[in-house]
Amino acid sequence: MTHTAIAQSMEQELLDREFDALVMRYYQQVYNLAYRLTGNAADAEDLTQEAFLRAYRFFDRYDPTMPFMNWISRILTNLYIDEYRRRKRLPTLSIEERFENEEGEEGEQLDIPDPGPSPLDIAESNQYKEAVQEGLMSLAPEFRTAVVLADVMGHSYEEIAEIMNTSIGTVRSRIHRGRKQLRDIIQRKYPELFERGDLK
Amino acid sequence: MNCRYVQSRLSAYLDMELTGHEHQLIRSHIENCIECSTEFERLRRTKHLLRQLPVVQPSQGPEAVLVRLRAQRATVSQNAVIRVGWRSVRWWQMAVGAAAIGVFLWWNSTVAETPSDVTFASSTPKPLLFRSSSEPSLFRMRSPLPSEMLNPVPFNQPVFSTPILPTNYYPAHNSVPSFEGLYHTFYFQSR
Repeated sequence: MTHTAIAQSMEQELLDREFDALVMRYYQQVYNLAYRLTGNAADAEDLTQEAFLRAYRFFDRYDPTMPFMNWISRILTNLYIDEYRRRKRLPTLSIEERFENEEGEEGEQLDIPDPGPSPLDIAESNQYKEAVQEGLMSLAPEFRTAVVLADVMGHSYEEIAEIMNTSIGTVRSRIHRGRKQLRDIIQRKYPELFERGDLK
Repeated sequence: MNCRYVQSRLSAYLDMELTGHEHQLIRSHIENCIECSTEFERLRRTKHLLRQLPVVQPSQGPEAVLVRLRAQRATVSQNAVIRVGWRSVRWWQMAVGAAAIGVFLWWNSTVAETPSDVTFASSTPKPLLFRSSSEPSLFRMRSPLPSEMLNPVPFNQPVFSTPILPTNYYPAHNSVPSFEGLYHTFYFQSR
């Protein structure tokens, strides 16, 4: 192995270590963002893992002047919106529907075992928290992303514009429309929560 | 400043994302407009509810990501070894290799044509690369004839002659493919 190759290998080793440290440090925050976007633990874990793997693949393009959390949030939100659109295009089969096989016989309902509430679900079983998450899930993905980045993750409009690769005017509009829709949903479905105005 | 304009900026006002002057204008409007202040209060509550959402704890830590990263790195480094292996071949090494191949091919085609007592009459001709030096080349250069000496052929222009093959070069008759031979082969094989 030549000197150049050894130097490249050592440099790669350092980058790998640096990236591993970033994974350890930001995993929980990234997972939290993924969970608030997807609304369930399984999808959130998948999305988090994919975001980190993609970030690793393009780590040589990472500009350290941008906070890592913002950079990976951009990767994650792009992945999420792409995946959301892809799933929307795929035909879905409702598990409530009965189906007929080729001979015309009517089959049973799809036998999908109910995994039951996970420890995370139990911990999250507070009705009001679920109500807010449910409200978030009914927003369009772009509005949901903007609202989550602003109100859950606490980013500024400028940061959100950078993460979502759009203008500040668009961010302002998305947050405003997203909040208004969320307000309508919560007020209609959970008026007592809205009157209370507090999750605790 | 009308209510429609103010209400379109209430979220930005709530998030302190307006310029100082615009912020002041909207603030003074809200203080005097019940409709806009009610709308502002609803948005403030919505934001407050979102802010109170707890940080969700993942059921598993970052280990799964680290394991997948290690697997990916292993694959990348394997590919890199192959790449580095090729890159480590220097240009001059490649040139020496190419020159060696060239010399070998040249030697094969123009090696001294000294006669030999090797007989090929009973064997099939060998491929060009392994042909013995005793075999005549089909395009063998010959010495110029005396008549040509007066009007010599240019130096770089080879003179070709019809090959005159030694009698023992021609393969034996049983190795020459012929209709009869093929017929016999198929006839006896089919029996």
